[in-house]
Amino acid sequence: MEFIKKNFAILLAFILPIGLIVIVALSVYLPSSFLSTNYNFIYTSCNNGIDYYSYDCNNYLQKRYSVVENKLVINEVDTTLGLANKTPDATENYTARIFLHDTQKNESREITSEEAKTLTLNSLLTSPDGVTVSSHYDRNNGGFFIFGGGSSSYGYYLTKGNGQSKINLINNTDQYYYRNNFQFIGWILPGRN
Amino acid sequence: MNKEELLQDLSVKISTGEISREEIVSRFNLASEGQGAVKTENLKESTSFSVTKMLYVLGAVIVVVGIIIFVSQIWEDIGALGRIVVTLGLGFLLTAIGSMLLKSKPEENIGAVFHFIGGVLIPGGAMVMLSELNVKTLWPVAITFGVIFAFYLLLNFVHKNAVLTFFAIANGTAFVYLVVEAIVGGSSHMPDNLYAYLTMVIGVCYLLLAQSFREGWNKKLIGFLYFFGVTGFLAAAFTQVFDSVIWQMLYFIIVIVGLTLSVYMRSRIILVMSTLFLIVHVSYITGKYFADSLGWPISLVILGFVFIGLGYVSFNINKKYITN
Repeated sequence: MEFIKKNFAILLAFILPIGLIVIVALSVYLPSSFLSTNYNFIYTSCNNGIDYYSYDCNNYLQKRYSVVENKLVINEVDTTLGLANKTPDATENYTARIFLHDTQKNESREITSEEAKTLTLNSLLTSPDGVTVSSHYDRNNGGFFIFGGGSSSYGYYLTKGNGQSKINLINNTDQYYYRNNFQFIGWILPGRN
Repeated sequence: MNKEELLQDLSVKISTGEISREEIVSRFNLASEGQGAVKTENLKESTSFSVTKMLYVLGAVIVVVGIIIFVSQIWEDIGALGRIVVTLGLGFLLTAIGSMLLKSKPEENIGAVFHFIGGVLIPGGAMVMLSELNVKTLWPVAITFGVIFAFYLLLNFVHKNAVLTFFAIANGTAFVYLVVEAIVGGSSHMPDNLYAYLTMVIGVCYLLLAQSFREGWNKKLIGFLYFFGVTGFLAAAFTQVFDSVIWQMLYFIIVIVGLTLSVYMRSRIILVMSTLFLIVHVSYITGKYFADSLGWPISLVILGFVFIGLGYVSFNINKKYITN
């Protein structure tokens, strides 16, 4: 007691920042720990075979995959005309893959287009139990301030209210999942329960 | 224990900061006895001491600049391990030398000078090491600064030296900011003004540390802590006034609390900084609310008189409550 009385100012100087860190950590991690959904979802990604970042893949994926009457439809896309600049471009050689993400285990696995076609899908970004797939700029993911090092990237999250939980996508750290290289297709119906 | 041993022991305790000279003077009531003679001697000592200290600081700065230039010249040729060795390795080596010197010559400042150079090199070297290890996330950086902070706390526990306290505070501050950034970096729901609040908290911590350092070996850091504490707090609070009427009113109270604190802590730095921020806030409020209604020229005249008034009040607070 005497020690606390004598060193009250110095103890308070340590307690204040620790208290702030605890509050910040709780406000970030607590809502996320209660976030869960009963539904899995499928998504696609692609590579144009040329660029590191595959800039036009998003256009390709949007044209190639659509959900009609709760079923996946795979469309033929004429890539010889070019997707971005509308000029003939024979070098664009897109490879698209479909993945099923298990939200309970937070892991993805590749599935065949035939398997994907058999699934019943809800193409809304928000699941029937109110969880949304969303992307935002992830400052934490790239290099650190003085040395630059890497580049920050867009992370994908399940969000509901203030809670958010990062989704582990396959090959998350390489160019395969550039921001424009992820196409959410739909939540799989029915849910686990 | 004979007289010689007792005096020797006392001398060591004074040099390590365990007991301050003021405590001995006040305990044995030596203040009035031979004060004049001591004062003259102190004056002579302090003159030569400050020249020595200045040379130490100048030398330390030249050594650090020299190391940076030399290392930058050979940076590309020495490889990853070489880069870590010339930064982190050298930092630890100089810190070890500093510790040995502080142990063997506690009455001299040479050990602190080596600790200063080591203290600059160790965090930089740790960053070089993480960069060479291709670390891409913030948590390892935050943890590294936490380890350096703990290292300096431990060194300080052993040596009780102001230079080590300074590096403990600097690395501790970096650690707190990095931990918060690592926590919120992946979150999109944190408020934008989180860092303003964090800086305010850090500012308060600096003022609390300054208050607790009033007696003891960390006295030299009080000015530094007052300056950065009050400036950090007031600047961070001022960033909040732009969009909030509540903060615009609250800021006047904050600055008045700052002025009161300057009297309570008898700190001229807090007084000057509080007055400066009050001037900045009054200018902002005048520009925002009165420039259109009164017109700029009249607003400027009023503002000028307000500045003179604040300067006068500040001068009188200093004269009446702080200098005396």
